[in-house]
Amino acid sequence: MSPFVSFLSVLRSPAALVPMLASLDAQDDVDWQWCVVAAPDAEPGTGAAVVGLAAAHDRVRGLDGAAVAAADVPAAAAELASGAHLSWLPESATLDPGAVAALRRGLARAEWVYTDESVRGEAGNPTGVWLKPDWSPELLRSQPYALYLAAVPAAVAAAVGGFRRSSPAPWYDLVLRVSEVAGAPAHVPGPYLVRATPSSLPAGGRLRPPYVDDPAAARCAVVAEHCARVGIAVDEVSPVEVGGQAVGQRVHRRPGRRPRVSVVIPTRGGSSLTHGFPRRHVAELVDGLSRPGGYPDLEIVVVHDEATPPAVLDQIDKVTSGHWTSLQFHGPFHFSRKCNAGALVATGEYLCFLNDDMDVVDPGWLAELADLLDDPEVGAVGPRLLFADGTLQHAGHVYNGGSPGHLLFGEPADSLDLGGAAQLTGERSGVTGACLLMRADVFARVGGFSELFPLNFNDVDLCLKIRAEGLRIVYTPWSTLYHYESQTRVPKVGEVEMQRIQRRWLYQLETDPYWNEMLRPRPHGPVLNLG
Amino acid sequence: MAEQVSSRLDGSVGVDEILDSIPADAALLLRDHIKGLEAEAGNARALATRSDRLRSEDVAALQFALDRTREERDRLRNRVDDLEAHLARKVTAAALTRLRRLAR
Repeated sequence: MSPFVSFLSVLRSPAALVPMLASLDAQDDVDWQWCVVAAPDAEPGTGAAVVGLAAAHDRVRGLDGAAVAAADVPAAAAELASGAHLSWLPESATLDPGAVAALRRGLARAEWVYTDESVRGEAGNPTGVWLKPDWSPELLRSQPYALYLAAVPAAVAAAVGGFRRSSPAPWYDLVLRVSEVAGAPAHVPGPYLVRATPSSLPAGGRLRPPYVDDPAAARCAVVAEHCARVGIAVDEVSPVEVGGQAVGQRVHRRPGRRPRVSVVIPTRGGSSLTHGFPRRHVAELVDGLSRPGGYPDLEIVVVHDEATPPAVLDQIDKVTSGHWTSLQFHGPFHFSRKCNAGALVATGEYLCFLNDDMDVVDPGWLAELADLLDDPEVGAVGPRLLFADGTLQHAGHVYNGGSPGHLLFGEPADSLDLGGAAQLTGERSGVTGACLLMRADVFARVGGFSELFPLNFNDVDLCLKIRAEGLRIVYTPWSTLYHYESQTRVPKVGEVEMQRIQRRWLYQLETDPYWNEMLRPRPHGPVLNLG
Repeated sequence: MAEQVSSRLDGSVGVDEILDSIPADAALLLRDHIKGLEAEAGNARALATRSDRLRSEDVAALQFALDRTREERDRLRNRVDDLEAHLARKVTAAALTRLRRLAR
């Protein structure tokens, strides 16, 4: 009878054999097999040690790969395997005693599975942990996050061609190809794979997540091939590094359709001091939108209160040469009503809701969002928002503990927390209504912004309605705007609005799939929209 | 002869078609209301399912604890029985020794 899982490893040194095997022998679930190949460039004696171990241990199969071409080594390891599932165990990594049982739990729910991972220091103590989100296909294109510890069915692996000789990042490549046919995997939270601190790190150095092994060019190459297979037209896939650390990749989508975008800006015509200078928000925002090099087919809809100073409207008229839609809003402030009113007069195929206290950094920001929305499975897209001091205001929503908040609120813009989530394109449960792009037909189908939420949670509700339609919400840092919202304002979250959002979505607000359940709840920025 | 009347709710027209035929602002409000009701129902279902699962897990854990407690109780009872028998044997032996002494 074939074992449940075959772990595949390629070793360059015999030193890793003993700790790796000890962690396998300590498994609660003993239905495993270890297939080890000594790499052609391994230290002398590695091949003999591997073959000797295989002869002595009935769960180990070994091969001295001295005569195997380097490109064929992963396939050679797979050829040794007889297990129902394949899993890659990198050299020097060990397993938590519950690893095989965790894989089995996940594989009862889905065709393939992945877990979290950690790093142990030289003294053996844990020095870092990477707790990952649930299935996020956009993130897998951006980062090899679902590779360790992962297990894929051997039959599916074989059906998609197994380890390809030409692949520069064989395991990442295989996992991508399996995901294309097997769909969403199960994620079993918990660091079941434990990495050793690399000897290349300086003494006392700490390996921070994300742990990205393959060379940049190799990762970019396999992701580009994956995009071609799934029909995503790309110009380029480029590596992403922050502070010298590899974080993942950026997929540069080939500019697609440019349907008309109606930018709906709710405003009261307010001003404030920004970077020490007075700023008349809405007029300056519209000026930024109207500059050359921006989105080619833009309709600007400004929904303004009766109290909006006429000078502000005159200024908008001037910077747009009269090409804008003015909609006067009557009644007390109501973010949802204002946005809905603007959407109802808009003519664009896409709607972009934009707070008035925003500033455009890069004229390509809207095209970047539109390219992601071109995917029919994507329901809404949101950019990265920065405070005036350059810290993160928004990198997507996070819903935990029954309450919505902003991910990594107030952290440095180059934060690598949560596996570098702020630095990469990936799915979220929601994005802020301060800047959100979506299709007009989806907006109408879900009933727009709910009028039950005049101030708070209107965007949370909208995003959860979009997700209930089976559509994904995507955050991208490759579109960035400044949001001059006050960082020190004390949020006023109405009790009634909290009760309403929880009546609709409490379960979702407690089970965000993109927030690892092993992470403790932490304070986040408030979800407020004061257009 | 009954007067022939017609209604848009006679089954020949769906909710979406009716909503498409009314003013867009009213349709937006109604669609949100419908989506809200669907969300509330889905939320209640999910919470109930989770509650059932947690209750089942609690019941299983309690049953496990109960079984363990019963096993421990039985083990202690057996131990007490053993000790009592041992004591009885000792007492009997001591009494016999005493009687033998008296009989001498």
